[in-house]
Amino acid sequence: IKQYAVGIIDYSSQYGGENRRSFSYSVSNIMGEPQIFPKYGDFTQAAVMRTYGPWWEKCESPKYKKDNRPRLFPFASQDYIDVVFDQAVYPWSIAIYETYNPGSLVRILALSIPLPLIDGFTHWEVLWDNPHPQHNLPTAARMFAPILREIKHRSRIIRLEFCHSHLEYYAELDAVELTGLTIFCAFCADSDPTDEDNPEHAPYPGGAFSQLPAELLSKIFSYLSFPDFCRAAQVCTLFRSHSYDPAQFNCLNLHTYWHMVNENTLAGIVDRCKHGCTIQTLNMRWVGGGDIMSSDQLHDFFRVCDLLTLTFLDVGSSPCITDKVLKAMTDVLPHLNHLNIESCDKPTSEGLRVLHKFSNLETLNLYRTKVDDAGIICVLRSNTQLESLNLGSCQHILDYDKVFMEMAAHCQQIRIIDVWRARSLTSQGLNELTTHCKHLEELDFGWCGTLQSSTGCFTHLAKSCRNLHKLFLTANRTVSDAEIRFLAEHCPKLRQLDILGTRQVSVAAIELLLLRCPDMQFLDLSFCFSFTVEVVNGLRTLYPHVSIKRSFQE
Amino acid sequence: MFSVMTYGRYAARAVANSLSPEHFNGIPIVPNNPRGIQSTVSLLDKRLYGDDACFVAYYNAADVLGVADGVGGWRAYGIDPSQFSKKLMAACEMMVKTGRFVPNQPAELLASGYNELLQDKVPLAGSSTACIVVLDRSKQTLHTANLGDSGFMVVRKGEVVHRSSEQQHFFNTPFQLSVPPAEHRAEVLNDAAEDADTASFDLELGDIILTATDGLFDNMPDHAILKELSTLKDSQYESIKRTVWNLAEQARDLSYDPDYFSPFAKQARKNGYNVTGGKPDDITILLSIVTGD
Repeated sequence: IKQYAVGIIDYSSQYGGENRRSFSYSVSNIMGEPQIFPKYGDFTQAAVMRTYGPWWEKCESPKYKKDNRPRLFPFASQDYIDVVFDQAVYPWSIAIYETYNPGSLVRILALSIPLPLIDGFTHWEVLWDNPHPQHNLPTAARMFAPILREIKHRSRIIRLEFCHSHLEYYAELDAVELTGLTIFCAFCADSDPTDEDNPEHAPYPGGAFSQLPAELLSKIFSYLSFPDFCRAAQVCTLFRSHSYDPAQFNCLNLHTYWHMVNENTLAGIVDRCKHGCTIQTLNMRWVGGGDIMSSDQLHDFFRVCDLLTLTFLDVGSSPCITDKVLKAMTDVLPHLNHLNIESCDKPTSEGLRVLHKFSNLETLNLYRTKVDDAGIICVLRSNTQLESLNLGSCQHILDYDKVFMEMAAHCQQIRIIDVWRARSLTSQGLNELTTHCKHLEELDFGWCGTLQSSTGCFTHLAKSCRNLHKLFLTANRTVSDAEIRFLAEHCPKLRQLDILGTRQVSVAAIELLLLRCPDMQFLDLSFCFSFTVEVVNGLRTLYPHVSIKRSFQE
Repeated sequence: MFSVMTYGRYAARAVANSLSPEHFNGIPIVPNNPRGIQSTVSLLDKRLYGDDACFVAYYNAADVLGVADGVGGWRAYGIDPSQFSKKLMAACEMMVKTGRFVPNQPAELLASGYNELLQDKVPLAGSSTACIVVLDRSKQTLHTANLGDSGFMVVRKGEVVHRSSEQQHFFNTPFQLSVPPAEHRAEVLNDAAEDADTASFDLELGDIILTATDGLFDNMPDHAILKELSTLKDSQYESIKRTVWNLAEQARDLSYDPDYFSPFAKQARKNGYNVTGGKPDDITILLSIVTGD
């Protein structure tokens, strides 16, 4: 049976607005039959994710410890879309229609819902992966249908995982087609890699390993991938004691293994983190996807474990984050500096108000959450060392000017701000911010249509922020030569600029900018009136170190 | 209840140059421009031909037809008027296909389609009229919304039973949805989808629904249209197609007839312009019949 997607259950990010009525560049465009294919270009009817390339990661400096353990398998996924089909089938093939910048798909998983009473829980099976994304594919639309693994259960929910950091511009998709059988054909299926770590009883003493000093054994254990590290507990009591050694838990990255994390995994981690835990960094992005784990487990995790030392917590796109879990987090994590709860859509506006109980935050990511004005303002007031804030696509914030004014009053250390699609932000808020916050470095005002250059807010910004190195004014149709000239003159450290879609900027102004800003790495001139293919190619030859983008529709 | 529909259209642009301007002496101002811009231009100046667009789409029990007539005056600003009308109709079509509309609220559909235009990366500018007609097959009703001088007509047993009325600010300046370019925000006419005339009617078997831009109505009076429609004997696709083409051809021929006293000329006279002849323009006609099988 061939079917096209009939619904989207979840996704990690999208370029389009969150308004359900709007379809432009929204991930919902992946539903249904292909509309654009075989045309190639940047069309509104495509499904597009929020970012691409290295440009969003480049500027942020990672102050936090990374998990240095090797990975059990290579993992490169940055975004995902969960699609649902009408009928559950044994997947035979999955084809995605890529209509712009192909080559972003890196993994496909299917949510297997086994018949109850027979075997197992709902779990994800990997149908295909290729963690080394293909570079330099021809610039043409393509239908990509990798060969899938056989699985033993039927499925109608498929997760597509994408990596787009190698792409020249946004990856855009038109449709996804699932072909499968309703009756299971008994080929020889691989055994399911259901990796759980069981804190079982280990019967034997250490053997030869007990001759080694403990520190050396610890060091050896730190070279194990996390699932292996956990499984080692089953070998012998010596190994078990090392596997449960709290000192091994400085950084924990479960994002890589999100599809394997279930109740048992979490129980194992809880056992290890109960006492004397020194964990500082915890990455649990996407954990619990497809509702394979209930939020109560996560709630217990926070309540039971000793997490006083935790400074970095990333639980983006996790359906296990609820109001209750958030509340628990605010109770037990007093020293948290970095919090990322982007795309967690379960917490309500009221529930998100507990965030003000954190008082040491330096980084906060609330992209696509339901945080409202009261919620964010309280957080700003209690976290005056805030340096980086992401409020992109926060539909429930009604008055961004007020938010900016509070930021100007309380968070003057702020350096990085992302307010993608802030519909109510005007020069009033921006001027207030630029007057009081002197450390601004990265600003993303993409699709903020209410910011008008005629108010002088951008020129004021340029004059006030000498350290500015990233400014995105995507689809702000009022950007003109005046703004560019001010940037050229006052912001010599500028590295990234996006002025997509303005008709009022001339080639001369951009040439001046490129001349005056030697650190420029990224310049998006897509859909700008004066910048034809010839002009842009000319600029590219003159300034080869700058990645100049020019998207197109036809 | 089913409906069978087809459409025919003519683009008048290519033929414009062949006509001589002498016929139109004495016409100082052509208001088919964004407000406030005065120019001494002949009615025949090809800058004033807007470009039409249309769409037909289905979702569940609703058939939706739309026409849009791009305002030609934008050419003077270096803006292609066909872009706006095409994208507006494409946006409305996508809205229908994905079910983001309510059948009995065509003005809402128009408003959503218009809002989507601003979500396109490409900086759009221009304006157009629009007429949206929704056939709700489950309830056998027709829901309509009309902004400007395009329109629709429902013909039952050879008589016009429902008709849209033209919305104009002044002669030859219809109500229009517009997206002004950033530089000219203040000076431009911009009517809202909420200003559209809306109406709903019950339908009967055999009803003919004709939706068209002013290229048809300005050149053919109702009785001539009815005469052509009366030749439609059955609801076969081929017959409808033939009727539509005949209508379009007649309208086109009349538009280039300098001695013909067209409805447009009649209107012009009423407003003080001494002119005869048809009005060359894009002509877009959507014809739909309510059948029972």
